Amino acid sequence: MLHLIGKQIGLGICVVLTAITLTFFMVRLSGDPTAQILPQDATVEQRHALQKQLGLDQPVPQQYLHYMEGAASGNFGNSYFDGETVTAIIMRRLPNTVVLACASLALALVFAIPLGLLAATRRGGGLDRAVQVVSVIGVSVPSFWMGLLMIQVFAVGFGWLPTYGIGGWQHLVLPTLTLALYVFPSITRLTRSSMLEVLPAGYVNAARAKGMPERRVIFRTVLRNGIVPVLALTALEIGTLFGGAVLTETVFSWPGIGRLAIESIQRRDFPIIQGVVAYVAVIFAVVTVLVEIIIRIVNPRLRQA
Amino acid sequence: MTPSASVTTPLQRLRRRVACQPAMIVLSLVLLALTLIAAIGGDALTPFDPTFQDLGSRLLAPGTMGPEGRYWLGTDALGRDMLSLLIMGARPALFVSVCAVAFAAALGICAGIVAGYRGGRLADMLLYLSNIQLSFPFFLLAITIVGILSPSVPLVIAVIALGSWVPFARVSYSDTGQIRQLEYVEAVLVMRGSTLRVLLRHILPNVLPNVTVLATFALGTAIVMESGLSFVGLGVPTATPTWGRMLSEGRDYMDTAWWLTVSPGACIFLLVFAINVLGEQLRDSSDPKLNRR
Repeated sequence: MLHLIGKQIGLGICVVLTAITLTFFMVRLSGDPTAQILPQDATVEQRHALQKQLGLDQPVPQQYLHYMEGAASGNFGNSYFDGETVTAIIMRRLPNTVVLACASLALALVFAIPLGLLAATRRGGGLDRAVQVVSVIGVSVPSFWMGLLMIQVFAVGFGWLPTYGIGGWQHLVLPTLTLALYVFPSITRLTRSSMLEVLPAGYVNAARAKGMPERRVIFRTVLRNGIVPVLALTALEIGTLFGGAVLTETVFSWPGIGRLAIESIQRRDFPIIQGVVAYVAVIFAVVTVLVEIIIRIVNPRLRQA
Repeated sequence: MTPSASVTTPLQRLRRRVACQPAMIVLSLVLLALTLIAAIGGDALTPFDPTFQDLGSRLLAPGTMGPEGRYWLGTDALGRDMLSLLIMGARPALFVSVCAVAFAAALGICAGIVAGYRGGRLADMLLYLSNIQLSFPFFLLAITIVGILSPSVPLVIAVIALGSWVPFARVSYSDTGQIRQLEYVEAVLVMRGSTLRVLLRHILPNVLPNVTVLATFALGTAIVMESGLSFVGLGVPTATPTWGRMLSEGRDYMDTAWWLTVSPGACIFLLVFAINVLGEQLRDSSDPKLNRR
């Protein structure tokens, strides 16, 4: 068990290193950053001075080592424009994204797992078919269009909820709903198919044969065994949520890190982009390892693997 | 089911399924055909000049009669006919996603087949690489790459392909691993057939059915990715806006002109929906084990 979790941590470290390295070299490829920071009419001396200040006069491998050294201690440099540290800017925005991601994931799981389970136990029934049709539709709807439609109906049409921005809980409703609908279909589908695989298993029959009430069989035996792939998918969906947040946050002008990424791309403020990519990679790696551990708590059989 | 009926070719199964749910499939085929016609026809089919801007007729509601004809889907903030713009949007949407999926499939199949056939270190490397890729939210990576290097058609295609190759590689890897052990492959090797011959003549054709199903779903995802990139301003640069860019332009007028955000999104949704429905039919008919009814 420890061996597998160690492997997962190793993979996480690889991902973080790859992400940081990739963005570093892409930014170097994209040209001289001083051209973006300084006004058009800046003199050559000013340019050289800034290059020296930013460490751009050193050879690229040395710059890379220097950057990695900083990154290891959480220092991703400063924004090109307002001079604030990248970490401070990200830390200000990150809570907004985390709130949105957690709320929508919770909402999606609360509906998706019971629905998937019900659809599996009444296979071929009306609910099962409805779940299948809805999930094909759900997979095909672009999340950002969903968000726009919801604004159109609930904010512009009925005037129940605010259109965009951040504030009270009302501001959270539409973005959460949009993101929840985005991850809902895949979780429901996987729950359904995973439960369908568990239902005919021998140990389920054994539980029934020893006189366990059907409800207990479903909730203890079937759910606990069938939930493992769903949990693994949930870990992946957290990544999808962070990626999808870029679009949803743009739709709702939600000041999270997805919006931050787009804003800094538009301003060509590259240190922030590099920081966002690095932080998201770290968060995702940590979540994946945590889910690996949770899976083994839920299903002890996997601990031997 | 009688034994003789259970032995069917994929084509027969497809026909049977089509007979079961004709409405959905016909609808999907019609939607797909319409998009294809729009993509091929382009500006030959538009009722108005899609680039013509007329501030006198801006933000007209759907169905308004203009001086030169009816604006069936209204006009945008620059007075351009929405229907004409939507028709023009079909080509970039299809072109970018088809190219991206083709690249992703070619790359994924090559890597998967070679790794599956050779096994060992090469396979470990491929699996590790795909794990790394899956361990990062792809859309964030996509906007980072396109944003830093500036959007262009080849770059957007390359980025979407980068985001789609993993399933192709994994499926062809595991399929190849199974096929490699079959007798007929061994027979070819005994007869001194070259490795290349085995890979191209015996393994590739057996990998293709599963890959075709994957490609259908990947196409839907690629279309959504392309329009997502366009929506945040990082899509392909085109003379008339793509569907995703139309959505982001319409976002500023949501309280006065609802039609600007409804129709472009509907185009994306209907196209992806049609592709997914057809993909499901294809999947269920190519794998008899999944044939549920």
